[in-house]
Amino acid sequence: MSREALSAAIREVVQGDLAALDDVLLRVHAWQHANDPVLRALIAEPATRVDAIPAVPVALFRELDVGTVRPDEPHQAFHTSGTTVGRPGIHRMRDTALYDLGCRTHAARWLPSTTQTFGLMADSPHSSLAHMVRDFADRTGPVRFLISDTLDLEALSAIDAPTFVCATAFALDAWLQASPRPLPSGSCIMVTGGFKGRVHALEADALLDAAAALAPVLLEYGMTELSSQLWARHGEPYTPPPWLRVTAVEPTTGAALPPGVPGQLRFLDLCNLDGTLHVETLDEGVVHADGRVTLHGRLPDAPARGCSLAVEDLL
Amino acid sequence: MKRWAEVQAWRDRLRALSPDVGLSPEGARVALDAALDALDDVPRHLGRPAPGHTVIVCASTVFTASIEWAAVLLARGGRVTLKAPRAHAAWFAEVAACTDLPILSTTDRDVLQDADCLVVMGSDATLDAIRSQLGPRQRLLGFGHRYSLTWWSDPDQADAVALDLALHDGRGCMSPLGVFSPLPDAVELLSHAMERLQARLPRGDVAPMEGAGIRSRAALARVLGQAVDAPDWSVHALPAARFPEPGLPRAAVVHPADRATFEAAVHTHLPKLSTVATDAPATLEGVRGVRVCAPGEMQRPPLDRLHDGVDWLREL
Repeated sequence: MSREALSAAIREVVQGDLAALDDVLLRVHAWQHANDPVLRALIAEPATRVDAIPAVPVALFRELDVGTVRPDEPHQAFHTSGTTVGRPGIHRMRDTALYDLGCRTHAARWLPSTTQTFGLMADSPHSSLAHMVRDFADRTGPVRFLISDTLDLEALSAIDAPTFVCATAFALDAWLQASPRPLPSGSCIMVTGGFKGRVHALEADALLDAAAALAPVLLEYGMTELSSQLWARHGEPYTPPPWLRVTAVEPTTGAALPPGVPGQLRFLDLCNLDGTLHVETLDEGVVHADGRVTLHGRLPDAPARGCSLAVEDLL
Repeated sequence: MKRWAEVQAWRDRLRALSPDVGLSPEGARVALDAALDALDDVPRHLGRPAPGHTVIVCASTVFTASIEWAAVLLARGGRVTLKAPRAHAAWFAEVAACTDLPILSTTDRDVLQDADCLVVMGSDATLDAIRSQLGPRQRLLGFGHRYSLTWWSDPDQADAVALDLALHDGRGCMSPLGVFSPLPDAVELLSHAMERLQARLPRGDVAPMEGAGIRSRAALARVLGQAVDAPDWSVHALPAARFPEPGLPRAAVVHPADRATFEAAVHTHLPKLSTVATDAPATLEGVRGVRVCAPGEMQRPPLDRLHDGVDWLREL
């Protein structure tokens, strides 16, 4: 099948033809196998079962050109953030049509109808998060990004209309430090991103409880390497879209775990047409029997290697 | 010499302990014996006075690293406190408790304030943090992050190379992060050696992130080189330019390389190298400031050596 035909097939699944999901997944995988040398190195012949499609570790996105788009082809690229050494992880796509369709379709049941949207994040053409927030404008109102060098607390304190505030966890923390007043009725706060930074970890529950005092809180989980996102209300597990399958595996062996057992999370994302369908994260969580997901954060690590000590061990 | 005899008696009692430190019992035993064997030799400069009270900040990974430092300080008449990591506090308490020599163990970080001298092996950030808190009369012997590598050209040395990789499950700064080899069948030879060693010295605990990291690197090696993976060990072949890869338990990285490539890697990384093992010593003629040894000896450092380029018996 051509890319165009596969794209059309994916659209039909996203728009409700879920009976075709496995068939389309296998067709996309076969096409990716023919067009992605990385995938061919991981599996000699295309998988014939959906559960045999190899999950590409996220670390490889920082090391290799994963996916079917050559760097010299015209494309849109999303980059991972937070990288201080080496290159970022890169997710290339020929266009964002499927990304946008999947994003809008699943977010529709979660998004508020507001008059303006504030992004507590930097605007960047390579940020998938900024792209997504920009794409919400039809529903949530015109978008302003409030981080350039610093967070624009003045703009936040002047909110006087129903507003959709989209914040990374650390930007939310910075905003809450300023003791903001509750937002106008109809507002909503979306929180995304991890709670463990390079310098300090945030108390997720306390942070979200504090945010909930300002406006209802939604949680979003997405990754640069994926095209689809999971959403949740504060206090509930994340809900993936029906075309995104989440599994937990035993980290050491990669063996699939039954529902309810914590493990390393993998995402099989039908909308990842130009990238790679199956992505293995370094996040730990529980996939419940109903398909919803409770995130625990990053996988537990060992102590620093070598004879090294972490600063935290001492101070 | 009287104190050294007491230290050797302490060494003999330490041999009777069974460390529970996350390694397999067999792996912990061999690692402990390797550290204690070094105390067979009488160290140089034994007559030098020790600082009054030295605190050795102990890492949780190489559970034996502090023993030689404590032994020399005690033999010189000093008093030692082991600042133990919480993860293995019980082990360090046993180490201190099995002698009448003046050595204690604690997890209390405030003990650092009482030290005349601090011995710390840690990241550069850790050392900077400690240095910023030093009192005016406190002395710091700090050793930053280092790593090691191996040159392997003799197929008969496969078991020795595997032993270096296996001790401390590859977590020590003297564990080779890369094995440079011109052998065309290096991956196969080392895989067989790792398999044999696993039967004798089983791998210990592996953290979830480490397990995921091993599988991730295996995927990378399948794309860029070669990967052989067993349930408890791995051998990954990757281009030499990727040295150093992160150390992962029982996960060897082989860099197919000629001698010139190896020597270039040594010179490039020299400021950060702890130990270089080679089965062809001529490869390292002229290299200074790094410990050089034979394969199989990387994690059996003698007392009389350069520790990260420092003549530690003289500096202590």
